[in-house]
Amino acid sequence: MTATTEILDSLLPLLQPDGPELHVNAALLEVAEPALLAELAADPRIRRYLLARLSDTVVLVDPGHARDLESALLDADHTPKVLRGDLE
Amino acid sequence: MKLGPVLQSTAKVNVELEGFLSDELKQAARFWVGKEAGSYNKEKCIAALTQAMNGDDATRRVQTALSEKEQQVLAIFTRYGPTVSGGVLTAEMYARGFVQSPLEDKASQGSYRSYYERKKTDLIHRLSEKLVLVGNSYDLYHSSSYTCSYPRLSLHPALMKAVKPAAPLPWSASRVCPEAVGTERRSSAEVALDLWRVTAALRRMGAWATVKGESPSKATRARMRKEVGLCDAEKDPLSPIDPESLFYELLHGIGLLNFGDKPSWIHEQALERHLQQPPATQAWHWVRAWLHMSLWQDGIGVVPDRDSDYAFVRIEPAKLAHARELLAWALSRVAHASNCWLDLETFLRDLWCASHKNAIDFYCDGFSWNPEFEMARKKEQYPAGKDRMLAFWFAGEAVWAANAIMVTLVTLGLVERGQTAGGKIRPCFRLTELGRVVFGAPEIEAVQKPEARFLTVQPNLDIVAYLESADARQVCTLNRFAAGAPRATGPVQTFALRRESLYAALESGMTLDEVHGFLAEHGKTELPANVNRMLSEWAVRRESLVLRTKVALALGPAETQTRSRALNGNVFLLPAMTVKVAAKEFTGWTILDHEAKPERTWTTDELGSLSTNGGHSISQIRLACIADRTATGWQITQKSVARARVSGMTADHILEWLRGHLTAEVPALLEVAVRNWAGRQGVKLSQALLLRIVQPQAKEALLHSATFRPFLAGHIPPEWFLIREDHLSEVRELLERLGFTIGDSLDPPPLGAVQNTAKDSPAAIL
Repeated sequence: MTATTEILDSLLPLLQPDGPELHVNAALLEVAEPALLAELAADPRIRRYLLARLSDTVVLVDPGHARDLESALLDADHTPKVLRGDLE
Repeated sequence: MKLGPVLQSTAKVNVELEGFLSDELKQAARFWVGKEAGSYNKEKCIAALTQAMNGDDATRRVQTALSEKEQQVLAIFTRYGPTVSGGVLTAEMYARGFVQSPLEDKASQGSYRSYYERKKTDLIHRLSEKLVLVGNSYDLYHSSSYTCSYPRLSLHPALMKAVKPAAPLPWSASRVCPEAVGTERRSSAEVALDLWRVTAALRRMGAWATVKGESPSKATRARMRKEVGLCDAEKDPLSPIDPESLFYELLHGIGLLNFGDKPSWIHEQALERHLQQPPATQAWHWVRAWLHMSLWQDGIGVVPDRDSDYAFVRIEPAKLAHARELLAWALSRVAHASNCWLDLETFLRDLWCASHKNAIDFYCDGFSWNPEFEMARKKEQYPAGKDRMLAFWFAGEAVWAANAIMVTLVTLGLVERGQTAGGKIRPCFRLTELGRVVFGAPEIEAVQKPEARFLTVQPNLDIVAYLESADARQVCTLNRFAAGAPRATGPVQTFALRRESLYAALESGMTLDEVHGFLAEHGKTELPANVNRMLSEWAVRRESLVLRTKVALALGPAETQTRSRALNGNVFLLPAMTVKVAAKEFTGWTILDHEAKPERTWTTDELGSLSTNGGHSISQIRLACIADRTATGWQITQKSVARARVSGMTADHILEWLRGHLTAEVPALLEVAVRNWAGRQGVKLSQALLLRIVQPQAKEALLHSATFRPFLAGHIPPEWFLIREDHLSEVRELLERLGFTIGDSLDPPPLGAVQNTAKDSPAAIL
């Protein structure tokens, strides 16, 4: 386990469902590096809209708060690329 | 796209034969069917006419049965039609010499000719009788011979291809100006930029307040004024009043605004399509919108949907539309004449004559710009007659026309204004190249120019744009990724490349390559290296953070999915799918729709002891965030709420989760506790001495007494006084001395009980 993963574990738990789950109409935040995710998770203005980690670079957004997260990211001077329902 | 005449009507024409009298139908049937139709009854006439009008023979019949002059009249309709307004039709009939005014008609001066006699020879009447031209028969009956004007008429749709459209009529000006000084013109890029800025201000508003007629409310206008701030008549009398509202009404007229319950009131796709059209096509639509714009009036600005019955504040909309049509008709003729400077007053005099003197006719005054026409200044000096009528027209309607030409149409980049050179300065104008294409369509077409290099990118990330060399499409593209300076006007404007502006462009679908390509193609100089680097950095930074919405996620073994991307060992990103499809393809899996309401599986008591019967991962993660695990379930505590607060959660956010997942309402006490733990509310508790005085007069006396003031710590309306602890004995003494009976106990009523304070209460209770 890397140091960043340890930090991430403390800031944002990994999602571990009891059984197989399929989430539809979900929102995800993907980052280029785990360090960036740690930076975001440490910012309470952004963390409040992040539900749980799916990996060290992907987070599940709290249902119903994708727009709030987008606004919070922009307010915090980030420029997220917003995509809708595709795999590209 | 080849433009049609700017006055061309696209309205569909329906001919309702049932509405005509039997004799009228018979007369028409003789033309369409043949002489034998003279013996038909009404039903047979209708059947025969319907068949003939829908048959292939209609064109041949026009060519063989109509005179050359009648066919020339039809050519007016195939140019502007199928429907031609009364004003334009009348003006065309006179201009092409198909009709003479009764005063000029020498035959009518010598002897009396009856109305019916004139009607017989009138080409329009003859064509209407044959139902080749159709319109409101009442209007037709009451027009023509006496007033020398025609109503709005339509050519039968079957005949639209029967004759070639009439050739354009060049304007014959009584006087042209050899040269002009102090000239001003606007490029199509400047106009498009103004339109874009007003749209951007509206977009920022999302939805805005409107008044009747979907016109912007005062508050909306003030906000547009504040955010856009175009040059208006207050700063320059030759600028429009309320210019932002002019552009708003253009957007409205072109159909780029939606009203109703849609989230955005701007029709974004239609706007995008409009802005990507060639400049002449865009300007053609602006003019078409202006022709029917009733709530923004030239020289007046925004007007109400209803006028006062006593003090008119606007031009009656139908009369204004009619006047604008005639002006556009005259300018279409100007477009086909040589491109000289026209003296404004002379042009308007020519228009008055050409439109047959009373065609532009309404009452209104107080226009923002008054050219003080020579004839208007001397209007009282003219004796009764034609010149006096013209002089008064110059003092009224001609001022409107002057504002329309020299202000509105200049603002729209269609007219160039100036002043005559020499000793006597008079306003003059000519059409711009854009104006000639728009008003001269379809004969005059835009000349294809090579793409001009109109901008310079500076190392400080500013872009200097020379709008005279740009076209509307280019400047709108530039404005997508570079922010224009607020309140900028003029042919040279500065735009700024900013991270947010590039981000907005990339989010709207532009690519970095397109931005680079645009700057390279239109830049007068090479793109500075630092600017190139900054653009790339900003784009890369955007790529490093991706927010995906409406995706499907499989948390479990999903090997069967071919189009999936693994995010983790057991997490797969799938193409978006509906709940129905998900349930079918993933039988046995728990399906969670993030847009549906949360699963209600939590129960709690007032003190936050929480249990759950089941629950999926979202429910579990949320619980872990706001509560602590206990042997029997979960417990919301001050500590757990404090932990949630550290991760940015607010009391409202926690309560939103509770409301979503609890099977019942959130207990009021728990809500208060959550708010308290989240640090929002506090209380103070201590002992207090209370005096209760029920009698209103006594209560008021005590409240305003200087003697009592030092002993009172406060007043709780209506009847409670707080007594300072160290002055209790003095207060008691004073009250007794003043004759109050002091009760032994306060004996307050139980919570929520209705009390009648005046009944059965001692005078004072301490």
